[in-house]
Amino acid sequence: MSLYKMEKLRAVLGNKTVLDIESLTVEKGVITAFMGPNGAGKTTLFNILAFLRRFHSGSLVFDGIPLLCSQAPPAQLRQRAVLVPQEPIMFSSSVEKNVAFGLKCRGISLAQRTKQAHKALDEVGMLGFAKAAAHRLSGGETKRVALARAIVLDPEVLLCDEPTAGVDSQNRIIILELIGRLNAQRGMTVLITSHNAPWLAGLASRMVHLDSGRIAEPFPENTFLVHPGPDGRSLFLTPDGPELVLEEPLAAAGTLTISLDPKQLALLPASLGRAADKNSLSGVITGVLLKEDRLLVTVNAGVEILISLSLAQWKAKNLGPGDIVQISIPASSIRVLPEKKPL
Amino acid sequence: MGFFWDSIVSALNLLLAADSELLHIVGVSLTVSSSSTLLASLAGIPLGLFLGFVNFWGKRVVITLFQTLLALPTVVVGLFVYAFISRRGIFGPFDLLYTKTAIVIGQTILIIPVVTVLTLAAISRMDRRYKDTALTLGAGPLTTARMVAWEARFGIMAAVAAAFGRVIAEVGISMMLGGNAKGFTRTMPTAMALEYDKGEFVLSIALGLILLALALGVNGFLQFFQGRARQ
Repeated sequence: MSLYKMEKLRAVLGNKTVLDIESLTVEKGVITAFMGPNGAGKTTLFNILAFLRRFHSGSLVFDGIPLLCSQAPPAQLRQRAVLVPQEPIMFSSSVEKNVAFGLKCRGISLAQRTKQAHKALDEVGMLGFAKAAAHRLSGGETKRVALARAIVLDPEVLLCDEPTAGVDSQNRIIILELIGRLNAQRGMTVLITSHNAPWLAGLASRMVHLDSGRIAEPFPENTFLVHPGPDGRSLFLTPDGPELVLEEPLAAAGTLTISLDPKQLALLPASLGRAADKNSLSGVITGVLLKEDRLLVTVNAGVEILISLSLAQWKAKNLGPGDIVQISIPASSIRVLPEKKPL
Repeated sequence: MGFFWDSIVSALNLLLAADSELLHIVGVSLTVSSSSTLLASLAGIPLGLFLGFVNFWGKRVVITLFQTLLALPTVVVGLFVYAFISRRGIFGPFDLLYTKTAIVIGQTILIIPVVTVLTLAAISRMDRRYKDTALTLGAGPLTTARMVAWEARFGIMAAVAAAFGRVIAEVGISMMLGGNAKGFTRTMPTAMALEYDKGEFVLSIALGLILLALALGVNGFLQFFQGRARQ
């Protein structure tokens, strides 16, 4: 059953269109991950879905309620969807009072909200900090308290914008496990964003890729069935290499399909690249094809990888077929596909 | 240098002797300035919050108007209020002219724009996330405004301190509406002006030093309070 339904949803910042979604539906009771590089429009979309910002045109329907772009989002809907922003901010009071704030807004008694706040803090492993000054917490602790502040309200929809960005691996595991538990036990609809999240593959039921404000399609030419290594951090493009190393282990074991965004891959002459660099693969240029105003360069690095360059970029590199090169693969270029087989 | 040294010694002598006239002048100054600052804060802080949170047609014009009023000369306020409270004015029957109440009315009008504009500036500087956090957690517009104002409290306190600083040192309104009546409406700045007219420079500067010490005390108190609140 669909919870959010968007058609031709468009948001503008100044003169720039920052979001332009043709059609998208988010299902109730599932975890949907939104991925894409910085500036892809994920935060703007989440602000709209949390009813904090207006959109400029198109339609948005929430649980059967149509929202108008000409009107401010109805305040009562904010009681149903809570956003945990990428960099949460704490009110200058205790951790406990921060977590209880939303309950106070809902008219819950002091005793009851203290009890519920403590329970929520316990769920994120922060009960020991209940009386601490909230603005003195570390980044990871702040994220956990912000999560507690949201889940204490037991919302229908939890929107987590980059919940694990900038937190250590221990906090990351706690946060992801909690999100999984909220969905599994309470049936909470969870929307989560990340710019670097192959490890969300095991958590989310659906992956939506955004690029420049639009729903991005995977790249069939650059799609690979990858084999995670025993540590969960390595992804092998073929069973015996080449290898991509993830910042964090995958949430699930087994093969998965990834697609690499050709525009985000960097091509370096072998003399400039260093083979030891993480996610830097060595290969040979096997083909160059002019497509519209860009060049598609094929590099054999054990598997054929496609890189899209502008003409100016290509000329500046002074490379040609047969040259040995390094391909740098940033984490944001990796799109994890729900399908378990190559397209 | 001897001139300033004599002034400091005179100021200390006046204070140590607990001169009753001096204490009365200080008392009047503090009473009227505190009252006008309190009244201006009661009006200016909500006005600043309103301008910071509510969008309406002509908002920028209103803000420009308030910013212009920051440069309001005290004499203009004095004349304006005088026109209303003099015997022929519409508030003439209340017999307010040359009273401390008249000074408070004039000073309040003078510093409402100061409190409003500086409160608005403090609110505008606040991280947008405070507002969004309050909203997403289900706060209504009033609770959200209250939360943001609480987070901006140091900036708002600075607005109040600036307003107090403006009125504790002003002469025009106190002179025109208070009349500088000895034992009734004489404030420190009007007493200084009078001593200057009489050629009593040392006493005038001594009063100035006491006024500065008072301002220092008020701001020191605010700083102490801010420091405690930040911990």
